[in-house]
Parts: sequence; C-alpha cells; structure tokens
Amino acid sequence: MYIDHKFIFYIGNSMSAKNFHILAFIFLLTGCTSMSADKSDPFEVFNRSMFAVNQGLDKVVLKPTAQVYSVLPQPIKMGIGNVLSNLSLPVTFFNETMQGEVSSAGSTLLRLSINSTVGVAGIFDVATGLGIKHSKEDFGQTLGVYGFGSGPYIFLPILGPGNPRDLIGRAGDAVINPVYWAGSNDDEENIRLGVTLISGIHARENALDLLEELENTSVDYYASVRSLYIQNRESEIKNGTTDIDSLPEIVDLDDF
Amino acid sequence: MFKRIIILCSVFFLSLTSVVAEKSPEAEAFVMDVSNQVIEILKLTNAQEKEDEFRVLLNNKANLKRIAAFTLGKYRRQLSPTELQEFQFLFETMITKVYANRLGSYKDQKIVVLGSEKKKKDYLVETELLFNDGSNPIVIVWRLRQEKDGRITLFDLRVLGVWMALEQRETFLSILKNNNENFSVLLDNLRQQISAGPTVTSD
Repeated sequence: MYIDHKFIFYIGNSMSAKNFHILAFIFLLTGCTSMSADKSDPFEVFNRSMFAVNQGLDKVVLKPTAQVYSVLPQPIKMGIGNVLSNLSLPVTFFNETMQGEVSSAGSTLLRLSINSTVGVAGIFDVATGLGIKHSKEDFGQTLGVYGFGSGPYIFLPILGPGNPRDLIGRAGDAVINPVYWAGSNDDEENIRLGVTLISGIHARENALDLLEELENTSVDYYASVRSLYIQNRESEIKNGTTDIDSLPEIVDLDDF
Repeated sequence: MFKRIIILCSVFFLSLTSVVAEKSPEAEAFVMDVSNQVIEILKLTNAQEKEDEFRVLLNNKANLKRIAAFTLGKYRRQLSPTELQEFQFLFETMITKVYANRLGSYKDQKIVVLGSEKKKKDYLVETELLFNDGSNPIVIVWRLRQEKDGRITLFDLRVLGVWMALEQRETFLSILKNNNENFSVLLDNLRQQISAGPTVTSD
C-alpha cells in the first residue's frame, strides 16, 4: 500500500506528534483564514524555496539512505512494510468510522486483528491472502469529507507537500496512532523517532524510481509534484470516485 | 418501513462503491483494444521498436492535437497558428518519448473493465490493472471522446488519482505564469526535455 502513495512519501511519518501540533496551530492562526478548495498556490515563492531546500536534504540524506536500505532482501523490506501498514490501521479504522464507511471499517478491524495475531505483529499480511482488501483513510480526508476546504498549498522541508487541512489531519492522526501511546516515559520519544525514521526511509525507497522518473521527465518538477499532490488528495477524499461533470471541459478542435 | 430502509441503504452503498454506473460497450471495447495493443508492445524487446510502435498506437487512438491544446488552457487562444503548430509537434514528440519509456516490460499484467459511463460525447471507463506478483491492483480511469466522424479517441488517463493531461497542463501553465507568459520559454523547456529526455530502455 505504500507503493500506492509513492509520491506523497514525505507525508505522515516524518515528524514527531508534538511538532505536528505546533505546526497545525501556527497554520490555524496564520495560513488558514480561507478554507476553500482553491488549487491556487499563493505562497509559491516561499514554497519553491522550501522545495529546493527539501531537494537538497533529499539528495544528501534521505535518498542515499533509501538506496542503502534498498539492498535489503525483498522479504525483509516486505515485512517492514507490513508492520508499518499494520501500525497505521487503527488510524484508518478511526477515520473510516468517522466518515461513516461502516463496511470498510469492519474490514480494517478484521485485517488488524488477523495480521496482529496470525500475522505475528503484522509482519505477515495474512489478511490480503484471505481476500480482505486494504484501505487507507486519514484525518485530513475525514475533514475533507466533512466539508473543510484544503486551504492554500504549502510545501515544507521534510514534511513535503500539504495544506492546512492536511497538516491538522496529520496532527490528529499522530495522536490516534498507537505509536504515540507506546512505551514508557523514558523511551516513548525513541520509539516514535524510530518508527518515523523507518517509515520515511521505507516510503522513500518505494518511491526511488518513480520520483527519479518524474524529475527527469517533467518540465517543471515543482509544479508536477504540486499537481500530483492536489489531485491525489482530492481523489482520496472522494475514494476514487469520478464525477464526469466536474472534469475540465474538452473543447472541440473547431474552437481553437 | 424496515424494507424501505434496507433499499435506501443498499442504494446508498451501491452509489459509493461504483465510480460509473451506466455501461458504454463501445467505450469498453475501445479500452480493451488499446490495452491489448499496449500488452503486445510491452512484449517487444527492442527499445526503438517499442517506441515506434507506441507512437503509432498513440497517433491512431489518441487525438494528440486536442490534448496538446488542452494542456495550454486559455493560452492557446493567444498563439499564432505557427506557434501552435510548433507546440503541437514538440508536445507529441515529448509525450511519446516519456510514455514509451514508462511502459516497462510485460510481466503478465491484466486489465479488467469495472464499468463505464457516457455523457454526450464524453466517456469514462474504469479499469483495474492486475499483477500476478501480489502487488495491489491499480485503478485506471480512461477519459475518452467521440470525434465528429464517430470514432472514439483517448483524451486522458487517471492513474493513482492523477489525471495525466491535467497534470501536464498545470505544469505548462506554471511555466507560462512564472515567465511573464512568454511562450518561447515553454517551447525551449520542451526542446530541452526532448533532447535531454529519457532514452528508451528495454528491461
């Protein structure tokens, strides 16, 4: 499932919950005066500079680490991916319930139960073999379903592409995530940091080929990433459904 | 009363589970035809042959002039016929190169049609790309258009929630917006992309 979200690899696991809350609060106060679904990018100059910073960080730190990680045997990487996926299921279950997706929430709960037990703490994805489909929902999507607009597009180093609604969503998800509550007072930060780092590296490794291809073939990489993010998030909020009337009009050649 | 609630619930959940309800056999046939031809191209081992065959398929099944014009948005009306012609040529060259390179090789993938819908001259066909290595299926939505002569042509594809032509348009418009709407900058970018662009590889 991480492969399904390759181009938003930055998202969700790259920051501690405390920082998420601070960021979300700042954006609530400063950036979120108009919660519309406007695709515009009013902070483009700032975003492009942050994008360049992120590119530098990725080139020097994240990408080389992901390349080293990629030499691990495939079964080990698959096991890591399965565990990370399993850890995210309570978040999905909560948000599916909040969105009234009863059937999907039931499947997610079943998947979590099976993979956490028979699947040995999520290492083995037994549920998929039994035909239980995987789904993914987050609090940003829940807010979208409840009618909250995305607000302006924002790109931040490490966090990557986003908007105020999704930043708030990430803060909410971080609290719901069992990792947030794991461990004693002494080691909880280390556990969170460890899971965050592994998630980031694993997701980046999945996206190695795709992002390189996108960067090589795009005439404006920043604009491509922005378009992919905005379109993908809208699609996720609508669970992939398409309304033919909402698509951009196709003009006839005579109109040129 | 209870029965009515059951029916209402069923209708509600059915409306959530299906992207498109009304069938369009001609559009579905078009998609399966194109998919089968793509699979045949994937089986080719010679990289140049693969790109050439893909170019032929794209020219036959997609209205590239219309897609090119779409990617320019409102700016297309500001261009002279010569500029538009040059853009179309560069666009077609770039698209063919980029997508031929993204095709990869045949690994027993299968396409199944999930549903279709027609509205006036527009069609949507939802398909699922299945893999036999345990990878999650990928939903691909095809946006098609009926031409004046009745033929159906490909207009756009939505993969992982992203419409390809729309993404291309937003990228082009960003370049124009950030360069004082100077069209030659976009043309230069396309030329650079083509010359430095991906070399088709056989894998």
